Amino acid sequence: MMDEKLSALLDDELDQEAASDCLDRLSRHISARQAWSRQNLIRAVLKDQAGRETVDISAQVMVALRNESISDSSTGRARVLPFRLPGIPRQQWATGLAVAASIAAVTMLLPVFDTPDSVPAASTSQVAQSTDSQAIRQVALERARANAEARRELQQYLLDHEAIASGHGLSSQRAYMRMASPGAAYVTYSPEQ
Amino acid sequence: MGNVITDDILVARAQKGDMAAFDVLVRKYQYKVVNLVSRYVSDADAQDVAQEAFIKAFRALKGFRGNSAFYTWLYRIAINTAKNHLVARSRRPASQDIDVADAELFGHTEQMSDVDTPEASALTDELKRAVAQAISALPAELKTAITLRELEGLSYEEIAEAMDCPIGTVRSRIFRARAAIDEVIRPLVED
Repeated sequence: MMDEKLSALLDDELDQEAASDCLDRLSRHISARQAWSRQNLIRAVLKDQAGRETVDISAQVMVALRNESISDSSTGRARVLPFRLPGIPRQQWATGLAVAASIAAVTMLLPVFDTPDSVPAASTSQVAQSTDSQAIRQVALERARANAEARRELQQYLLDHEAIASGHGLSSQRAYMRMASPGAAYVTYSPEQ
Repeated sequence: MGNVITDDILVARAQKGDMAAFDVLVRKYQYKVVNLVSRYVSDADAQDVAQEAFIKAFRALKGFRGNSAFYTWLYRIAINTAKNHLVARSRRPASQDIDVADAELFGHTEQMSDVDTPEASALTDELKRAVAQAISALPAELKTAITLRELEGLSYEEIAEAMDCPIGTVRSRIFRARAAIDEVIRPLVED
């Protein structure tokens, strides 16, 4: 969000402490950074310094730099090129990238939540010999319910992303996953199945 | 009040590996850098070249000693990146050299790139109209404050003197003017 301090920061009209506080807030809040982007766009427009293309490229730059740091740490060398997908308009693939990252994160998290129902039962049987077996059974039951609920939420999350994907020209999650990790095999949920 | 140059803090943080600080710098200068490189390369390539310039700047940031302003250093990287892009494309670079300071002053009629796309300029034109309309709709004291700040480049102290009011009032008026303009342009730039 835009506020008076952010406005003053834009003009270099804050002292060291206030500027540092404001920059900390910018670092923490994406909405503040978006407001910062817009204010700098307004400034560029007012001074006739905005080009004919006024798309925010900061996300692409940061993705490329993060990829570079990953590449650096894994191989010790890096060659970073501007991040862009061929054949897809920039704003579409930028949105698609965010969705792909979300889906990749969810896919990685699935095994954590997708614990077989037998696990809580086995845990229950191991401790059933204790005098508190009834209470523990109840805990296990609640855990199983929580797992089922988590699975439902994740499934809904994926379906939501499926809808977003369709709206941005990519036909399915599978397309996103192929984009994120080419060559890998995926088994994804399909509403038709 | 001992005001600080925001870029100095951001550069110091980014040099220590603070990616968010570099993100703030990118967001601050991206439009100007895209505009700058678009005088050398086509609209279709301008954003990629600008992106590459920021990546190069980040790589070189640890060597930046602050002998010049950050934006001067960044613009020089951007111009070199654009020229290298032209060489890589086997195109002739611009026939005349442009000084970093002069480059900012060039208007759209002096574009050196040879590929213009009407679609690309549509949003910018709409933004210009929206900003101009938003400013014209502002109350007089807000309009004066934001104009003196953005177009005349006056400091808050100088604006306070010109408008015969306290610095705090100037700060508030500029903020309110920006917030009003932001309300108008936000729907145009948000996805």
